[in-house]
Amino acid sequence: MLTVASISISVFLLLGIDMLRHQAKNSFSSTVSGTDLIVGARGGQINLLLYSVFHIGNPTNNLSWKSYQAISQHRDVKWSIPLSLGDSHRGYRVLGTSEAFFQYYQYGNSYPLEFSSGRVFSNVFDLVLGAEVAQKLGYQLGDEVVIAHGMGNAAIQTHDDKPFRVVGVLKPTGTPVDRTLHVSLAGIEAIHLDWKAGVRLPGATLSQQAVQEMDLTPKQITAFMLGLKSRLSTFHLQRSINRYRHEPLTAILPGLALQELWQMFSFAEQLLVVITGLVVVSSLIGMLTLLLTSLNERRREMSILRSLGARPHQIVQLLLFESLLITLVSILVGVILFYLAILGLSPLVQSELAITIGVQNLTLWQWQILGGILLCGTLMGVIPGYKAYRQSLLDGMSLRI
Amino acid sequence: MQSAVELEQLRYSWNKSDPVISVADFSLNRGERLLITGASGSGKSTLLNLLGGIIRPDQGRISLLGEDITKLSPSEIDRFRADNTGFIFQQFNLLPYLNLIENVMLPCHFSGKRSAAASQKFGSVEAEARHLLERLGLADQSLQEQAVNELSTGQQQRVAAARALIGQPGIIIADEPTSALDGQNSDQFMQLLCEQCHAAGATLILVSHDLSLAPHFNRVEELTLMGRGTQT
Repeated sequence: MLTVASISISVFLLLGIDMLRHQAKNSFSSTVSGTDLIVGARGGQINLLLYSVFHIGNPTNNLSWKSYQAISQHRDVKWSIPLSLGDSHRGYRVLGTSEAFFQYYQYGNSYPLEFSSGRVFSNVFDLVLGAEVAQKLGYQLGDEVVIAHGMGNAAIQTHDDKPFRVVGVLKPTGTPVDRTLHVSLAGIEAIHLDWKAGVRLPGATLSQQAVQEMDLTPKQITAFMLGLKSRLSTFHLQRSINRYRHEPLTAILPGLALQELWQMFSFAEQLLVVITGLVVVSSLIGMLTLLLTSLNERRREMSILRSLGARPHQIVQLLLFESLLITLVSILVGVILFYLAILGLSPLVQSELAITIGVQNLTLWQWQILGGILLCGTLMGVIPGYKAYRQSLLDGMSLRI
Repeated sequence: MQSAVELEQLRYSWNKSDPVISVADFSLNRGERLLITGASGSGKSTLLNLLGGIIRPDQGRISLLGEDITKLSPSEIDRFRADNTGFIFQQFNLLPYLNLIENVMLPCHFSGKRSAAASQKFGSVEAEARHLLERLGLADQSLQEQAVNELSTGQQQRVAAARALIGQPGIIIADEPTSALDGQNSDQFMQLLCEQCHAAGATLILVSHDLSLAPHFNRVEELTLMGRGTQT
């Protein structure tokens, strides 16, 4: 029946959108854990969070290696992870970092990074791949990879004179780490030695061997993450970094920045919920229309039942029961569709949006939504029921319609 | 003998000026079979609606099986009708989505009294339904599983009769039940209906313009145009 189809599709949409909302939030929130502060050049905190952790958008400015050195040696700091972004490989970002990244970076419920094969980079031209990069591009240990300058697939200028060698592949994490190529800061420095202002200096080509013998201490990095000895000092340190005298810096608490991000999205999110709500309402009205139109055809049936002794309230009950049944079946179909969609689409969603969707029980909130729909749907039967009641009082048993 | 129907000073009109129904005094004993005839527009259907409690008279008293239905509330009338009256219509009015037995059993869903009467006399509602169908010549098992609108008109009307008779209501009201049947079917139907009414001790009130049915009845009344009414 068409009504069942339309209501079940709206139920499906409602559940699906609710699910995506939560999973997206979870997925975002689980990307960083255990990191107390993220520090970058002065700028908006959401911007800093997005480019440093999620690799979305571009950094406004870099910060100097000296500042990083100074702050990471602060007495409250337990560990620090430098992050250097700006290069890419076939659309995947290249992250220059240190061994600390593999040691201290945590995601989800404090899971550390793990290798599915290989090891941490030790050489200047060593490369560690995220799970998705390795899988999509088919790289294995020992393969040579050329890094392009800048972002995107269309980066024309490549560092083809200095290829990197894959020494490690990480296990899947469901975070942007999967889509990143990790090299040492020295590696990033090495490929840019003979570059100036984003272009290769003509004639100044340094060989791979020559580079290795030079001083590869970076002069600047994009951002860094800090883990503190005690959470209590977080705010204190944040304030002092924000007032750092030698360079304008911004330190953010990842959790707070995420909160601010949700607030930005909340309007769009609520709009989406309202729209799906309207879809549900419109399909319920569709059912109402159907019940009302069929009522005229069934006027005869109603009066037959009346003549056999059915009381008006029994006729109302009949219609209520009918709308209850329609809504119930629709909800069941909708929920089944929802789970089928999760099973069918979760690999796609995972690879496209990096959002992990697991088959799980409906949340309390979702049950409440379903209950609400069921109630509304059943109540929709009241209107034709009342009309039938009036009709049956008027018609009585005069069956010569 | 107690009377099944008593009418006193009954008047009903669709508009104030001229009454359609006007009955001074009328009574019908239990178990009697009454044929009401009259030209169209003489108020036959109006009288049946009054007897069924669908419409209320402007004045006067209608007493069915000793109960004055003009004093009952609408829901009490509904209940009284469900318990004590079986209806047979010109157009059969069987429900197409139910099978034979289910159609016959339907009134017992709405009346505890008739359901109890059926169970008491036959053991179960279904047993009485089968019994009635058998007595009305619809005993065939294959017939009973058929969709009701695949039956012939004569068979459908007999199912309708069984539906009216189930649970032994005191009064059977039939409105032109034979007009959709041909002569032979009509005669056979009347014979079966009268037999079953007699067996159940029910009072039959039948409205028809067909005077050839008269031999089946022990009383015949004619409603004249514009309702001068029946006098006894």
